[in-house]
Amino acid sequence: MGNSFFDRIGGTIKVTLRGKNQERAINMASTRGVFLWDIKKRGDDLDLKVRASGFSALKNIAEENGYELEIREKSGLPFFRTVIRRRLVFIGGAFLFVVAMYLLSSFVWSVEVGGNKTVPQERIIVAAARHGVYPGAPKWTFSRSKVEAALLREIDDLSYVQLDLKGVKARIKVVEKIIPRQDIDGPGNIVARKNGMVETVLVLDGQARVRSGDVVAKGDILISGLVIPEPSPYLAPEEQEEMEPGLVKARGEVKARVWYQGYGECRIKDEHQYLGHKKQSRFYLIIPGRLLSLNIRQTASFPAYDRSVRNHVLSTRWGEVGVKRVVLREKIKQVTLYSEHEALDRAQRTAWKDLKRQMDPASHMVTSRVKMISSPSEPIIRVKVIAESVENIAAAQPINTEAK
Amino acid sequence: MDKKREAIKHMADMLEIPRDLVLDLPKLTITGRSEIHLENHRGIIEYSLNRVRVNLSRGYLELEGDAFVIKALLPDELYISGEIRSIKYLD
Repeated sequence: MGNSFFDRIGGTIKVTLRGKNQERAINMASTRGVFLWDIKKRGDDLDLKVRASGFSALKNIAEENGYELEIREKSGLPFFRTVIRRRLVFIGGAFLFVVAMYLLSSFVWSVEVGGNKTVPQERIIVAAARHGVYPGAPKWTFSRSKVEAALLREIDDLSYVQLDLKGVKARIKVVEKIIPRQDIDGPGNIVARKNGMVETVLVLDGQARVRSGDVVAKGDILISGLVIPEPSPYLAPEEQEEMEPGLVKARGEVKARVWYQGYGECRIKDEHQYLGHKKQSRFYLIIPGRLLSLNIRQTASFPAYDRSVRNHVLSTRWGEVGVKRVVLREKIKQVTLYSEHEALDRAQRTAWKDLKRQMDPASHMVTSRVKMISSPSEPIIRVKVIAESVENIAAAQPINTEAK
Repeated sequence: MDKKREAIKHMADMLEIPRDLVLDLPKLTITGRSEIHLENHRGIIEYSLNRVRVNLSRGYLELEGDAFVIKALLPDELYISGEIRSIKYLD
């Protein structure tokens, strides 16, 4: 009977009733609406439990009718008051901890962007900041769906934006629009992609403007989309039909010899700097208007160093607060002396690298040669690599018919 | 008084209303040998560890046994646990 949970909240009192004819007292209490339970005889005494709210009524009955009432035990929340008062600081600290946790976790501490390939990350971060998502932003000041919609509106190249709040981290996941490659629908020419000497011409549609052995420059028309009808060799001149020039979309393949050049050099005495293992960190406290140094040693223990700065800053209404970390990494100078042979080898390698960079990976190299261009007296070896390849240099280009 | 009760009893039978509601009759629920739930009681006459007497609208109920405890006492409900040996209705 009764609800033990609510008994605990309201508090219960265990009492002992003494006197003659205790049945009368409990009947009176029950008719007055005082709920009693666990009534048990113990010798001549009667033990019973009563809610804290009903205790005064029971006490009145006992006093009016000459019973003796003794409180044996108090339990429940209201009787913890003394304990609470004794441990006030402890409980206050626990409460403060919860509040601090809640407050700190209701801010965005960092913003991450993922899924972007061509749209720069800064652009997304700046756009998100403009709509309220930035490190230090209270979470309740922006709505996720609104920021997502605003980002989509602001950055045209995105087709989908998802803003996830994981604890204090805001993750912006984007999917970029894939814009279909612009194919030429109307008439078009085939032009040269590179300078070269034509080897073979294969026309599928259109009219060839070059033949094998011709030297072409980048942008020259190789196969024209403008077809000028030629007189048929099988018909007599008077039987020739008068035909209008027509426009087609030129298709075909033009293979040409293309030359590439790569350049490389190497000093006989090479000075080179690399990062060592030694590291030194310096910490600064950023408070509004000042920068406090937290370092004991102010000078670096090595002469040359590479300096990188990392700031962990939170913008508040009073200014910026945070930690600045400066990492110094030791730089070591290394001097290497190469023999002429080694230097030539290194120069050649860089020259080849330079050449390969310009070439299509698919193109087929036919011949190559290496040429030294530095004089023997120079302290530096300069090398030029020339290569020749045969490749398809055809590139489609639309004919602008509207301009005519 | 008896005539009136008789009339109410007839009415209750006719309308198929439970008598304990209309006539204020006690309703006794016994679970096993150790628990008794009594509704519509009129107060406790006597309570000791091996005897409980409860007043009813007509006569009283006497329980005999061992280790009786009144688990709950409400104005018209009573819940007693203990080792029950006999239940008697007396006038």
